[in-house]
Amino acid sequence: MKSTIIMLLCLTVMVLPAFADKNVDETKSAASDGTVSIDILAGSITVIGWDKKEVKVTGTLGDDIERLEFDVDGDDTEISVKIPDGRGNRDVDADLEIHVPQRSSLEIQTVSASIDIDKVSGDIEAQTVSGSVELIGKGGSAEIATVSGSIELKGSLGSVELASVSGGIEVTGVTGVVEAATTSGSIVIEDSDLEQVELESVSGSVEYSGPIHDSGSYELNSFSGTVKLTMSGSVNASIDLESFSGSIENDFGKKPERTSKMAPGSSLSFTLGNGSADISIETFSGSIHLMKG
Amino acid sequence: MKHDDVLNKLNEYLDGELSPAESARMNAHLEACPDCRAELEALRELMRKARDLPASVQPGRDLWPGIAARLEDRSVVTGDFRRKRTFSFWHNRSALAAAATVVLIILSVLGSLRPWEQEVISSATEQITVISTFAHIDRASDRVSRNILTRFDRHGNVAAMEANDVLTRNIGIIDGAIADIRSALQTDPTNTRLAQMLRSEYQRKMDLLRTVADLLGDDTDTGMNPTT
Repeated sequence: MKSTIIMLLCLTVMVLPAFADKNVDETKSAASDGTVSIDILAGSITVIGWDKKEVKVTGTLGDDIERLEFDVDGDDTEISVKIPDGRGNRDVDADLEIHVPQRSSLEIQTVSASIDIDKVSGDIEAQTVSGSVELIGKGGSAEIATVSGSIELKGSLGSVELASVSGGIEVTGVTGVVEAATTSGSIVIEDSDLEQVELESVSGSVEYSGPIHDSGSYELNSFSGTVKLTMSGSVNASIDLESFSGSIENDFGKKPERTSKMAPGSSLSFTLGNGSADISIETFSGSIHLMKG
Repeated sequence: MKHDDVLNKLNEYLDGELSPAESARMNAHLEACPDCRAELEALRELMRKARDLPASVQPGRDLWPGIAARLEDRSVVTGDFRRKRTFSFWHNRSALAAAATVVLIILSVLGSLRPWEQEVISSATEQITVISTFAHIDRASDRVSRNILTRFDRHGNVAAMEANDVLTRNIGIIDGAIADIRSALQTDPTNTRLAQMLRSEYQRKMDLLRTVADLLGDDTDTGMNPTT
């Protein structure tokens, strides 16, 4: 009995390292406003800006990842993982925390890895298939695209372009310009202060709530999803609402009119204040709600 | 007011059908935009010519039923675009385009295009142009979908099937939207907004395929240029 236990213990000790994740902890000097490119298949990436002129990568690599590739060439830093060719279910997750100089620009690509970005003020491009993306903006522009992953944005950003296929898009407390498009995901923008907004979906709902800038432009479209615009504060805007077969609800008094004798569509155009901002909402069958905040 | 919105509303503007607020916005845009002013002037000139024509030269009948009948005969504007019909569609498309062009040439020679006729014909030709990309998009869709599976099979990643499922489901959603618009066009064939929506949904389908191809690092040419 005793010898069996000893044998089992020995086996465990021999086998364990084969299944253990590999730890990484590397630091390299980098430009204060260079570009950091990150290409990871699966797992998670957390990128945090700091005030050092260094890029530091810590975390773990899955057992089937051969090694971390981490190179700095002038202004460009590249971080990726080397995965040997092979098939089947393999442990290729890389869970990495990456510190970068605060003014760095980021180019991130993953398949299923989630992406978190904070305290980075350079321009950000992130693409993932099924991973989620969370970004707290620090003033740069952002271009984010996912297939099924969700996108969450907070903070201040210059201009933002977001695209998803089925992932939901949530923008909270953001200033700047936002363009967002999705097929079946929902788009929700709230507590934000935006001068230019272009939101569109096919079946997902579209919601924007916030102040309307006097020189702003707000275009919200959905094919069959519900579109809600909640306007806070005083509004000076020319407003055009149109739906082919959906209903139109307007908190500001005027009622919609039929657009055609042959179809159930309706439209509504009116002006609030001096009409300086442009607001346009269009759907095919989705309902439109224009509300006071 | 946006450039496209102004162009879309030129007819109503000339016909005095816009609200005072909309007219004011049109005026503001027209003052600043030489392209829109040129379009407006061309339209005015056309209407002047149409008005100046002797009554006997003006078409004495509604042209749309004839055009619609021709199109419907070929199941293009109102037809079902399921894959099995793609082949016959491609055979009919050039004949349809030719038919529409002939109608346009005849009417242009007569110099009697009235605004509503222009609208009807431009709507019909726009639909034909839009529809001409359909089979192309379908082939591109198949190709991208196959490439996605091949690529992920190489990596053996579970995201492969997920991505393909999401893509297939969402292409289905867009196809559903396209079918709804086409059905609405049967009810309201001169509705230019519907024609624009149709074009937008086809564009969206191409954009979706491009996005997914980009995300997956698919370097195969998707051949999704709508102008080809």
